[in-house]
Amino acid sequence: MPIVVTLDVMLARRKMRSRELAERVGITEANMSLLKSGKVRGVRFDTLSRICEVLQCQPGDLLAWEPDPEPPEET
Amino acid sequence: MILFLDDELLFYSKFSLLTQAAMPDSFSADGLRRIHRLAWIVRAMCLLGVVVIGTLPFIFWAQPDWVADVAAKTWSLPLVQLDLGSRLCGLAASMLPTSASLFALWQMWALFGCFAQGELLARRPAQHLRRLGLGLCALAAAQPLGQTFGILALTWGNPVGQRRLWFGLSSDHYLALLFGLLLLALAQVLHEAARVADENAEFV
Repeated sequence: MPIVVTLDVMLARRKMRSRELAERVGITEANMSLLKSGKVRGVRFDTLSRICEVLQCQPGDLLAWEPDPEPPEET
Repeated sequence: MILFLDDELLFYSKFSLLTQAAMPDSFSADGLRRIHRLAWIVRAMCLLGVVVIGTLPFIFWAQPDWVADVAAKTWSLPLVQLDLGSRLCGLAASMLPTSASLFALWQMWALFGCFAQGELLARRPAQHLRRLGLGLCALAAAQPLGQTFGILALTWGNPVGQRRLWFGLSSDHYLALLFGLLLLALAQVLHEAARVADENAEFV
């Protein structure tokens, strides 16, 4: 999946710990950790909105698109 | 990849989600407390049922007078054999519905055990509900068969012409079958709900 979660970068910029963000957003630390590491299938609009509100950023600041490495050509 | 689903923007990460607990956090605490309380009541009733249903056939078939009374009044049998062999065969016949009932109670005990632990929309309770439905369907068939074999056991020693092969169906059997089929359908619904809950738990 070429979508990369860059939440940790934004957290570092805002000098905020993920525990505090989890508390303010209203999700568990475990879920925040999964989100930070990108180990989730998706994020609800509601959660995304609250993260953006707390971090004062745009959804695009939290996500990046990186193309998958192309498979090696067959010889 | 960005997906629009109703009013939600869902974005997928490059990793699949690690398995999470099946229990969604969307149940109200009050609802869970009520289910927990109900679960313990039902489990206590199951225990009582196991004791009564498990011991009653042995007590019944151990008392020839009681057997003769039921045979005359309920089954309208004027002549029955009450020797030990006939009564043992009768006991074996009554084990058919008894074992189906005990199996159903066991599944009910396990099902409400899951509920007591807060395991609601999950595969385990769906499996127990399915087995409970199967148990009830089996009971619907075992009850009339048990009665048939029981009566046959009591009259097998009678002179030729006074032996009875009796088969009867009642609304109880019909209702047990209907209820069993209903539980089988509900188990399938619960299984689907568990699958959806699992999927939902993968979204933060």
